[in-house]
Amino acid sequence: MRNVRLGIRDGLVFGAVFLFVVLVGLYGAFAANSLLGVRVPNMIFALFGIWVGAYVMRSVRRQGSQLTDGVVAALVAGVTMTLLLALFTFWASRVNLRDIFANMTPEVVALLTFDRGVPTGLVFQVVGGALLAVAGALGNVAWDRIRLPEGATETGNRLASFLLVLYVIVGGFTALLFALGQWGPALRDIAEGALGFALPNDLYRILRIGAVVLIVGYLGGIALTLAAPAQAVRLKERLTTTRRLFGLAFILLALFFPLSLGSYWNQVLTTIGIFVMMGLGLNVVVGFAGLLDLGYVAFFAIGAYTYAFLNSPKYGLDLSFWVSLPIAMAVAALAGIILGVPVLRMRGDYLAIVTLGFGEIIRLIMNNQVELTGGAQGILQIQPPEILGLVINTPLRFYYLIFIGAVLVAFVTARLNNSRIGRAWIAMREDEDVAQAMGINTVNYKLLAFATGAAFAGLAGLIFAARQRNIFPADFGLLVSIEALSLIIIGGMGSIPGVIAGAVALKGLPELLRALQEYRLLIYGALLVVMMLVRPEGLLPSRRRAREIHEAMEEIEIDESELQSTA
Amino acid sequence: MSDYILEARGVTKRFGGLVAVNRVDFTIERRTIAGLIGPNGAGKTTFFNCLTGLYKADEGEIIFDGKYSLIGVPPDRITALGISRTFQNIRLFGSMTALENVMVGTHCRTKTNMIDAIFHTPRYHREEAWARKRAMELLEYVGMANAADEVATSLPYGYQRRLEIARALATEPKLLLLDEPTAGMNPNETEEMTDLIRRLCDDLGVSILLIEHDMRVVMGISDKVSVLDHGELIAEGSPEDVQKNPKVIEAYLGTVGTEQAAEARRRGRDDECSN
Repeated sequence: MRNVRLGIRDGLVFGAVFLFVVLVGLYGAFAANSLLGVRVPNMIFALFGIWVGAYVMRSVRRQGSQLTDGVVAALVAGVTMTLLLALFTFWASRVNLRDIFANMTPEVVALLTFDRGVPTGLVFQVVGGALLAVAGALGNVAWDRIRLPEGATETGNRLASFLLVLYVIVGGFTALLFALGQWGPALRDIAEGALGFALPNDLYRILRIGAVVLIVGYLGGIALTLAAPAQAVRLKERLTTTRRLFGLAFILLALFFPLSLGSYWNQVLTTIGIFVMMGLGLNVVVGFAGLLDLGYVAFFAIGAYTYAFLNSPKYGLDLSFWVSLPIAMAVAALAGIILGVPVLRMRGDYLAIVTLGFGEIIRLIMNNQVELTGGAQGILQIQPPEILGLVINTPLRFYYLIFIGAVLVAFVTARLNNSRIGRAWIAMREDEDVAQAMGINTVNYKLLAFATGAAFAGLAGLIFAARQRNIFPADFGLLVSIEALSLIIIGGMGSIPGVIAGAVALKGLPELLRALQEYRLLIYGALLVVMMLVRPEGLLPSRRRAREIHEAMEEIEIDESELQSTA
Repeated sequence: MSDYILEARGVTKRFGGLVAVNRVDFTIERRTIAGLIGPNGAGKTTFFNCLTGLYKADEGEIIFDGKYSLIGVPPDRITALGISRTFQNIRLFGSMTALENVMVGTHCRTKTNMIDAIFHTPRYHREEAWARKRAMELLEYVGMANAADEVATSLPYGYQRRLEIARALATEPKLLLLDEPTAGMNPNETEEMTDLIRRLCDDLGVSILLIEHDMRVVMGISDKVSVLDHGELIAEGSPEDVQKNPKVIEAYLGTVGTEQAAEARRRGRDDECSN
């Protein structure tokens, strides 16, 4: 019963996310695209189906329930998800929803029903969703179970698991799509080309039925593998491999994807990159050292204004970007220490309020010291950087500059985290008194965290000023601090990949949501709320953080069940 | 060199009008186990906190190792000088593994700085390997090498207590302060812990100051027992002497606790017989 409830809940969540993807126009946007002959929207559909199944199975297994319970829960989740989708599709096919949801065009409805019209297409949705979810669930188990025979190397085992997952995902929906007819004509053409004669229609139909049998057999095969005795699986190692593969894919994507984008999206990417740098810096202060800083924008502003002072013709210094870079970082770090000293004895809420004030002080200085900073008119004509004669003045070039900067910042923070210094910060975050009793000079380590975080924000500010060419106090409002903090919470506090994911989600989503026009911020806010409810530890949490959050949650659950049992 | 690892003279700590520790004179000889007992609220933990620098004593002098005055010295410096402690309510770094917890303890004996950490200098590699090895050795010493990669909070209670000791040992103390190390343990675990404490003193040459409520533990392993009541030192001496001291019995049982007193006397006789 509990598993069914879990399935319904997760099915609803995934269904809502799926609907969201449809409503923002992502689904329809790829209508004309196909990959390996499969239309991209159908791939999205299949991915959602597999994903919900795998996700539900993972939750069920974590509770230590039976595998059959997990399969049932996944089935329920798949059906729930697609029922939600089917209901909406039905509604959209009867009533014109385009006044509210601009993207619910008849074309999208046709896509959602696999070109089969309303009653048949809806059945396809639900049956397909159920099958895919079960495939995902079994794939999730198989991922941990499949091992090569005794004596195989660790690399061999990892490769086997990876290929298996690939097989589950690709094989699963390939067969399904063939059965649904998406691949049918293409495969028929290939087969006929190879054979040299036309296939009779009846044979073709039989092949299609064969594909359905294939899916059943495929699922059965996975089920049989699962029945084999579970061998000791070193999940931790597998996790590292997965992370590395994703990391590599991400870096390749980040390197080459922007080349195919227009300057608008590259501009968005530079903004994301600047926030990645800020987020990584704030992550040192909040995520590692546990010092809640709400005035982080101050250091961003200090970096930007330092470059403006050193570079803008208004002040006559005319220092280049590269000379200003270390100076701006040093000035920001110094400001971090200046803020740090008075707040050394403060913790939690009190610290947050003081840092909040600090951020406002810096902004007001920028605004009111008109002779020095130009006041609200800002500082104009800041020069862009130049590398060996190449002026960095297009969004694409800035993107690569920022990419290098962000990689360096990520590298430095990762190295610091995995050292004596990182351990000292985390010890301090967990229990300041004990950390001190273990010989950690908390004063120095707090100041070090503030200075490091501030220096990275200073770097981000410097690049921001170089990109904008003109800076104004209004660019450095409280909202920037809040966004920087939100992105590390959404991404997963203390986790470097999390910060990147958070920045992409927080700064990228609003751009993707532009299609929603005036509903944009409403949906965006709702998504953030859902996100924090479903995954409080963040998108890609550090293992440490996930542990803390889940332990806290389990304690709450235990308390509740105790209450219930006593009542 | 002084015979005493620690000498406290007239240590006083007040919280507003409450005198938590009142002119306590206290010494610990090198390589011995000193027990500190007293009813709840007697000021034992406050006294501990004065020694480790968590509180600053209002009056008095504390001399460590015959040469260092500890008054006004911050806790991390005191740890670096060679005093380490465990906590009454276990305070491990909950999100870290057992090994990482102990590695934090090696902090004040290593010097890796930011430059080392970022560029992975030879010093980083050397110290990181040393800290890991040292931490592993200490986990073995307290008998929990098999749990090195477990998250601290998921460890069984007895292991958490031992982990606190391993972490404290990683700071290489000359004096180790244990705040109720056997609290909440079953007789079996208590016995193992008592053995461990004895070994720390005998094998490693660490002097130990022990706060403990379990009389059998304190009386069994202490070379000297001191009794605090209402912040004042009311008795001091060998375990046998202290047990017979009427002031101690009164402090623990009040004047009406005749029944318990009889029980205590009987237990004392039993102990003598078994010795």
